[in-house]
Amino acid sequence: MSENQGKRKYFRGGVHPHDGKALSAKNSINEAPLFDKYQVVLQQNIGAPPKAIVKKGDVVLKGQMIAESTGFVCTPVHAPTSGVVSGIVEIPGAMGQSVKAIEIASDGEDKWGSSLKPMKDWEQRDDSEIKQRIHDAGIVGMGGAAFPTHVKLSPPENKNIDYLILNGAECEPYLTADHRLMIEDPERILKGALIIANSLNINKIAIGIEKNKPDAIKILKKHSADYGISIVPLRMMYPQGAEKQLIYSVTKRKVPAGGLPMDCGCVVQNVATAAAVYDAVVKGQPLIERVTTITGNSVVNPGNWRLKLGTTALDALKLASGVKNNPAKIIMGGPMMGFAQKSLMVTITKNSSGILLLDKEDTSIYESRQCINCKGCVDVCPMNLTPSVLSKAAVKENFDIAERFNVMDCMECGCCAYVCPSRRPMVQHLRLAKGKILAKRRAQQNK
Amino acid sequence: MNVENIEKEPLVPKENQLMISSSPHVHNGNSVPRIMGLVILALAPAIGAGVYFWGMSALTVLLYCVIFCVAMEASCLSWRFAKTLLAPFVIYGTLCVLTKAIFFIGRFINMGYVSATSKEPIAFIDSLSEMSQNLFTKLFSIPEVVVIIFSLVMIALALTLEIIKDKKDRLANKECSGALIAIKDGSAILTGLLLAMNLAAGTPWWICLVGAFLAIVIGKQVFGGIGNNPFNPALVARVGLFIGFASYLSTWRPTTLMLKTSDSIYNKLFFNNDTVYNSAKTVMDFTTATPLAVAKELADKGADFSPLTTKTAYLNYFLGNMGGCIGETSALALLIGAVILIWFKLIKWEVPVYFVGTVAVVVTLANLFGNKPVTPNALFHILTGGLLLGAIFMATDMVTSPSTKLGCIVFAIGCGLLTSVIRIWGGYPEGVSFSILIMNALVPMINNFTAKKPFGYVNVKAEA
Ligand code: SF4
Ligand code: SF4
Repeated sequence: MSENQGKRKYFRGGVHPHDGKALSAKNSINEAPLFDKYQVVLQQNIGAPPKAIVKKGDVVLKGQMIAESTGFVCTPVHAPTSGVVSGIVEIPGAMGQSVKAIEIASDGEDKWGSSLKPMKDWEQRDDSEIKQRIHDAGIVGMGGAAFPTHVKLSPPENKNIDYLILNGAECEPYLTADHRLMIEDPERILKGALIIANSLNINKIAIGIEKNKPDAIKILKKHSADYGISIVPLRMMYPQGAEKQLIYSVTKRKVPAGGLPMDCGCVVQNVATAAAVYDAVVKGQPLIERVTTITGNSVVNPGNWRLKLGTTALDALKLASGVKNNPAKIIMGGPMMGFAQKSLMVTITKNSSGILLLDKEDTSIYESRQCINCKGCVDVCPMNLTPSVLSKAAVKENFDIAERFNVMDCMECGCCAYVCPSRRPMVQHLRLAKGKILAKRRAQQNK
Repeated sequence: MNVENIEKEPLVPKENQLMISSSPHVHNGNSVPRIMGLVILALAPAIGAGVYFWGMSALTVLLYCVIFCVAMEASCLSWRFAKTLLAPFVIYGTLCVLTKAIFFIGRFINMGYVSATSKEPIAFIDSLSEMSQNLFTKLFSIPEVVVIIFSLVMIALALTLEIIKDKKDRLANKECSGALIAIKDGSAILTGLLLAMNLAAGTPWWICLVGAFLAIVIGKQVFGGIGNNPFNPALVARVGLFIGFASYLSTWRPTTLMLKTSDSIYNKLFFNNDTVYNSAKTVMDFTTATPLAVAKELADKGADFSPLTTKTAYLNYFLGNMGGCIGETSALALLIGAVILIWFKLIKWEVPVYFVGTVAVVVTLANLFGNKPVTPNALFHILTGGLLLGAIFMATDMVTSPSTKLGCIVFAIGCGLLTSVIRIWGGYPEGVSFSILIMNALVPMINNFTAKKPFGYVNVKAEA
């Protein structure tokens, strides 16, 4: 490939955190029993919040739409089981704020009632029909960002998309949900990939998987031959699964700074999302459950469970037989980019890839100090920024300097904070700067 | 019993004991004390070499510098500590200054009265002046052991106070002063060691004290402590002392080995008076010149440099058997230190290589273009003076070097250029400290010029 000549083999920077995946990597996905109640968070996507279309006392069936989308960048939400709506409640959200959720008291029958019809003949269907179905099934990026999938699949006319990349890197330590899914459900993932590629009219498909999952690579390689999908083993390096880094590793294309994957002709989807797309299109099943890893050194039985949306972290933890000792932190997501929780009443949403319990010894307790300019963060930043300068600028509220040193390109991967000997809460500083700069830009636009 | 356990509700975490913080939630375990410890480890060979060559007279300087630096750092960080530690020093210092002042006033008045006729008051003032002079000399000749023990006791006392206070604050859930964390990080120890490396063996204790003050207080704490100082503290102290007490900073002792190999030509070059040299018993009895100073002298005379560049001479330079600062002489020990630093990724190899390389290139070019050599060859310049010490330990100082790799390379080349210019054409035989300090001042500018381009950067102007 002449296109790749003279380019670095790997993306620059990155770190090797202790991966902790052995805790749950060998445990196959368990089905969760039916719980008494589910609290389905209303807004589970980036973008506009959907509007609830049920009220207290309504009887709902499993898979029935309970909130409709209110704009283009928005997805509907569906009932995870059959039962009665017992109200719209405020519950703690995964990101620390309190969020609205629809509470459903389960009737124990789990009766199916989705209005989506299976499309066995999806190959003959129109692109727009497939995209509409992906929207109707409420599918969002399940890797973390929760960006509505149908939006990603509808690039503007002038963008020429020719590459679909499935993200099976799962570079976050401890998480194994995607790993298990790839081992146990390769067909769903591969067919989902075909459906997505079909709707974009492209035929180059690749699945990127980190080399620490040789079993998943082997299984997918065995199956993928029939579909013309290539499997790309990736170097073990956090953040291998970050969109721009993944695209670079697989295609050697660089997403322009400040741009989107589509600017270099790529679309990236998580493997779990691909599986969900398959369910939605072929089986007519909206996104109401996902595989989540429940793990940590203090968990009695770490493993992977298929959980319905709206399951509380408390219920989920009980599935894993509770804890041995009190953890220091409970994190939704992985240890590098996940959010620390203060309540166990937070519920599973479409992007909850894991519930991670960290002991005091595993986690980093910050006693942050002055930056000694060791340049550790500069060496590991995968976006090739100068985090030390950015963080100092943010602390001094010099947001103009932060902007000039490209803080907006930061993806908050946390590599810089991971290596900082002064234990500076870099990501916190960077988020602060990004937030302020965004606010300023918006204010300027409104003027 | 087991059955009972299984039937019980599973244990779930207690919500009130959960911690919240921003991601990431894991860390690679690196810390400032670890970095400082590793740098000290890398310094160890050079320290060992210094102690080997000068014995006790080097060891005491090292001790003074470390103790005084830690004391200064601690007193800057803790006011309680400062009060306990500084009060005796202040009283002592005031006494010294007062006696000296009386002496000068006496002299002044004395002079005034000599031209006049009356002699009565002179005798009185004269005696006063003399008395104060004697007192001053006495004050400054306190045995060194007393000073060391005094400082150690003070540090111990004050640290205990600090620890007790810190424990109390923690129990009461109050914000800790942070002084203790800052003292524990070991940066003051490192500064002290680096300062000592830049002083000659046998430097008196009070020079070390002033040096520690310059390094820690003027060089570091007034800017806001670790991480905020624009200049390398040890070099600030060295240059400050050099300006204030030049004679102490350029009196070099011969190494013990030099005394043993008395009859080589090499030694003749460094001791201009053979009889004194031959009667010297210990290193403290006699002084020597550094190879660079000799080279400068020869250059001024327009003489030939060949005695300085014999094989024996090079071997001596490489091992460190020459006059100079405690830490700068042994190239071998410094190179071992460099390997340690690079191995643990504490410095970038580019910095010393570009620094030394630039000096080598400029020296070679300078000699090439004149009709006869203006200075000894590049190898001589690399092995003598503080070049290796500066390139390996000073120019790579994290805090005072640029933020990016490219910036560091620019920085190193700048240091190399300035060093060679000062050495060849400047008034001083040695230019490493000055050049690094000058480049330190330029770091913000270098940072601006060498800002990194983010991943996927597109040049907007080029595209348009
Ligand atoms: S969080 Fe931002 S600045 Fe830090 S390493 Fe990641 S991309 Fe770079
Ligand atoms: S890793 Fe921390 S101490 Fe080192 S340069 Fe970055 S912010 Fe400063």
